[in-house]
Parts: sequence; C-alpha cells; structure tokens
Amino acid sequence: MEGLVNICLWLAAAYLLVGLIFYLVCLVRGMQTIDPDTVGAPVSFRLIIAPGVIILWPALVGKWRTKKPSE
Amino acid sequence: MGVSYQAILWNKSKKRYDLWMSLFIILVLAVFVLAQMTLHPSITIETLIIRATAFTAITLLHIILIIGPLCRLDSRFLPLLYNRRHLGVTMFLFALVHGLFCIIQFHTLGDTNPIASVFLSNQNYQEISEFPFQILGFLALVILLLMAATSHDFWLKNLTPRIWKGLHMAVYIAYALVVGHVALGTLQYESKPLYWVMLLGGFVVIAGLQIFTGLREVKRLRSTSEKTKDKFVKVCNFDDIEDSRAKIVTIGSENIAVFRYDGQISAVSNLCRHQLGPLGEGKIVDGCITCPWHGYQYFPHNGQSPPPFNEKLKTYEVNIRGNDVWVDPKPKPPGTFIQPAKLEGSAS
Repeated sequence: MEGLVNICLWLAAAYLLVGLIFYLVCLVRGMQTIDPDTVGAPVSFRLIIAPGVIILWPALVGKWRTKKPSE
Repeated sequence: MGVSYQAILWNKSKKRYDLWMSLFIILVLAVFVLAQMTLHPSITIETLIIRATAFTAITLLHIILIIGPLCRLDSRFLPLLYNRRHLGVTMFLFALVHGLFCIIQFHTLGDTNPIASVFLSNQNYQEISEFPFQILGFLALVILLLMAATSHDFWLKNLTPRIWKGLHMAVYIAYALVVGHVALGTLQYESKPLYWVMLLGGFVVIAGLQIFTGLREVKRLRSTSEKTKDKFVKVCNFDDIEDSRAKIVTIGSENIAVFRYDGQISAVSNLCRHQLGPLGEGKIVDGCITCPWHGYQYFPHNGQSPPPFNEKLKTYEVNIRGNDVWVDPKPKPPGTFIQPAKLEGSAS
C-alpha cells in the first residue's frame, strides 16, 4: 500500500511539474495561439489561470497543436 | 467573448455581492466560534480553525447547491446566482485552509510524507466505525480545487461550455464525499447528535429541492404541444407569452426559447453560450435577450451578441397563424437572421 501511494504521489508531482513548465512556456509564447482573447490581458489574469493551466495542461496542449498551423 | 480577458470583470453588482458574501461569512464564523468556545472552553486555536473553516465551507457548499433550484422556483433568488463562482472559490479556500491545517496538525509529525500519511495513517477500510474518513475529504478537496481553478471564463471558452459544465457537475460528487467525510468523522469523534442532525437536514433540503425542481422540469417538458402542420409545431398562443418574455419549449432534442417583443415573435436556442443558462427565463432588455444568470445578451432576430462580443445562438423559423405561435424545430446555424413573426394587425 505504501509503495503504491508513493508511486501515485510521484506521478502526480511529475504531472504537475510538466504543467508548471508548460505554463511558463505559455507565458512567453503560446497563450495567444491557444486563445487570441488573451492578447493584452493583465498579469493578474495570467496568475488567476495558472492553477488551471498546471492541472489541465493536456487540454491546452491539444488546442495549441491543432491551432498552430493556421497561425 | 470578443474582448481581452480580465482577472475579474468587476462591476457594481459583483462588488455588492461580494460585500454581502463577506458579511455573511463573518457572521457564520463569529457564531460558530462563539458556540465552540462556549461548548468547549479548553479548545485549542488549531482545532478551532479546523472546525470553523470546515463549518463555513460546508455551509457555503449547501448554499451553492440550493441556489440553482431556488432560482427555478422563484426568480427573486436570481441575484444569488449572479456571482456564484465567487461563492464557490471562497468555499474552496475555506476547505483548503481546513485541509492544510488538518495535514499540518495530524500528518506532519512522523517521517512519512504528509500527503502519503493521509492515505496510510489509518487503513481500517473494513470497519465503518474506523473508516479513514480523511481520504474522502482529501478527494473532495481535489475536486473543489479543479472546479475553483477552472472557474474563469477562459476555461469556459477553451474547454467548451458542455465539458466545462460537465466538469462542474462534479460538485455533486464532492458533496457526497463531504457528507461521507463529515458523517464518518462525526461517528468517530463526536458523541453529540447535533452534527448528524445538521448534516441530515442539509441533505434533505438539497435533495428535496433538486428532486422537486427536477420533477417540475419533467412536467414542463411533457406539456409541450406536439401539434404539427407542415414542418412547424404549434407551441402556444401569442397571448400566453408575456411581453419581453419567453416561453420555453422542448421539441424533440431542441430546447427553444420563444420570445415575444414589440408585437412580434422570435425563437432562439434556450441555452446561453456562456454557462448554458436558461435564456427563456430571462427577458428582453434594451432590445436584447438577457440571460438571467450573468446578463449575457443576444439579439432575438439573429441570436448574435451585440458587438464587440461574438457569441451566437441557433435560431428557429417562426410564424403566427391566427393567434397561435408555430416554430420549426429544425435549427438554423448559429447567428442566422430569421424574420420575426408578427401578429396580424400589429402595427409594430
């Protein structure tokens, strides 16, 4: 049981770390490709969506990949 | 949306909402803390924080869950719905403080990872009286985190309203986990029946309201007229619809709001593009259909939001024969102009 719990926690931590890196990349480039309405949005907006981006990054990666060719 | 996002689109109503919410929370906290200090004079500050944040979070969760059905019963409750997301995020923050204090107080003293300790410190899954209720609370907190993290309109747009709505329906799973968490925790640590009575009372109110409004909705759907002529379906008489208001009809799989305004009729999808709110329960304001939930607006004749917004609703062909209103349930693409049907002899 202990081993299983520890593996799950490590996997969760790794998943969230990838999410954090994705979020930081999005801050530099990518967010406006995912959603053009983010252009000109204030820093407070970028902070408020941070937890969601870190948790749900696969949904946004998919969106970024499908939108990229048309940009 | 068609304009840049803001962290929070503040307006007078939202500020007033948050002020009342803050005052209510202060009142709840004050009453609870006073009651605890009276009943348990030797209570420690850590335990007081754990209990007070839990009580406040659960109280807010109950209010959140009854707002929807209350609004369906009486439109005077609609102001409570307007900024429900702030209520939800606030509830999550109280639950988070409760969770963090519990982990600090009960799971940081050993050499096990504190979060792993939540799952490992008690493994009596077979005994209901000793069940590790903490795990239920932890899972509820994860769901509430997911909901709070996606409460901004950015997520509504990018996950699509349907997926976003589905995700936020997980609040019922979170509620079930919270009920289990509190019930089992109370069973193990409390001899007084007060907490059981409050929990059961809350459940009865939430379940009762949800079932009652659900049954009303089923009855309404069944009452929709199915009299057809050509491709059109008769939905009601012109006079059945109040001016600047709508009648909601469901024909097949189409949920349609039929609006009467300026002596004419238009029909659009009943589902707001924002959070799938019931447009037909709103009214025409400044020439636009206005969603009762958050005030999103659409022109009745083409289902388009006024500039600079770019949301579009499906529209439906309508006509008036005699005094009867008929709707073609086959939807036109979102934003399609449909000539409003006018009552014969109407000057408008």
